[in-house]
Amino acid sequence: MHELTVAIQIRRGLETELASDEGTLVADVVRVQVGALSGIVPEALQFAWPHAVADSATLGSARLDIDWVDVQLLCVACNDVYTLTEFRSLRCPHCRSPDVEIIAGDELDIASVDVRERARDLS
Amino acid sequence: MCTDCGCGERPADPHGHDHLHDHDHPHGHDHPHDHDRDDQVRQHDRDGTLTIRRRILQDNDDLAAQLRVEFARQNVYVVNVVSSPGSGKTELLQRTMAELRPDVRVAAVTGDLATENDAKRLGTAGAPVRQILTGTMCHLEADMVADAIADWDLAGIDVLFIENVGNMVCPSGFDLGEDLRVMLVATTEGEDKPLKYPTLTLTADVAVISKIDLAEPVECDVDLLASNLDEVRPGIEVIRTSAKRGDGIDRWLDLLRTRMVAKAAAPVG
Repeated sequence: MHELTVAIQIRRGLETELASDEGTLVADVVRVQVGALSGIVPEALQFAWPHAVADSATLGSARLDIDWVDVQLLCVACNDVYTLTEFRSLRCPHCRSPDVEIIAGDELDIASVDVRERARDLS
Repeated sequence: MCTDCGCGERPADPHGHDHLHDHDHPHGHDHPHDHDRDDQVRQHDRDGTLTIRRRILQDNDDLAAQLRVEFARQNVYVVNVVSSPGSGKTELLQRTMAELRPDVRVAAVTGDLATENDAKRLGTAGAPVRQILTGTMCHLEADMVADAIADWDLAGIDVLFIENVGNMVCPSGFDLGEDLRVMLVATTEGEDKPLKYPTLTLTADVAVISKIDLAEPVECDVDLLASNLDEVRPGIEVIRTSAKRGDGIDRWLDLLRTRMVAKAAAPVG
């Protein structure tokens, strides 16, 4: 529901990270990890991305790759990890124990960016 | 994409959200723990791929952490109230503030897309209240709270209530530096609301069921609503209230007082 905010924060985060290379790099691909518990709809984030970076010299033409991460619960009782296609409960889907830990699925992270040096203007 | 939202367009936002933090990002920095996503590191690979470890909402998280430290230093207990629109946040807070006020110094900030109505209602108790107008934005962020309270003397406040924008999705991702996140769900919303919005249910510390005086006319099975909360989040404390009639308010106030005392007794830092 707030995917444009998230897209803008990806841009700001990358601008901070790439600040020392400002103006010399062009990004081709930006990879983010989005967990199923993040509340983010990938299609909406994809839709928002070009609008968030439209006027960025570095990111303006970059493709956004969204790595969707399913929820994984570690059940202490079963001593096993379960991958959920849909999160419904913080209980073990096998034995119903509430003694579980979320080990994946809450990501909302920048992962990597493919960059190349901007072609020098020789004119 | 939420058409109500348009979060990037924030013409009313005077400070422009320019978090120009001076973080150092030393190259090739080693991580002492295996969960390195909490840190920021960047390494140049030969193929032109830069690995970046950074949370997307890190600016908000950093500011929320600063607020949390400041709230702890000034001994302010902070409650973030989240629910869908119309589930009774303002009504509950109005009553809560009035009941606490004789012996607790309360204050509130309230977020809405438009109108100062909620601030007016909360202000009737005579406590400091500030309206945050979000314009098109569907949730509160830490910087909006920081701006709203910037000229308040926190030393004169015991409890700060933050009434979030009515929304069951977006606020869950934004830490505001609160001590307690309260999820409100009204009997009029139906028993399955917690199942429909598991992310918010997951991030809440306490669930308050509101409008139990209306449960019968709307045929809401309050036990089922409570068990659905417990299904998503086993063990979550559930308080059944009617701010109008007064049911459950004592228990809710007891919980707040107990948590406040516990925070005041905890060492700062």
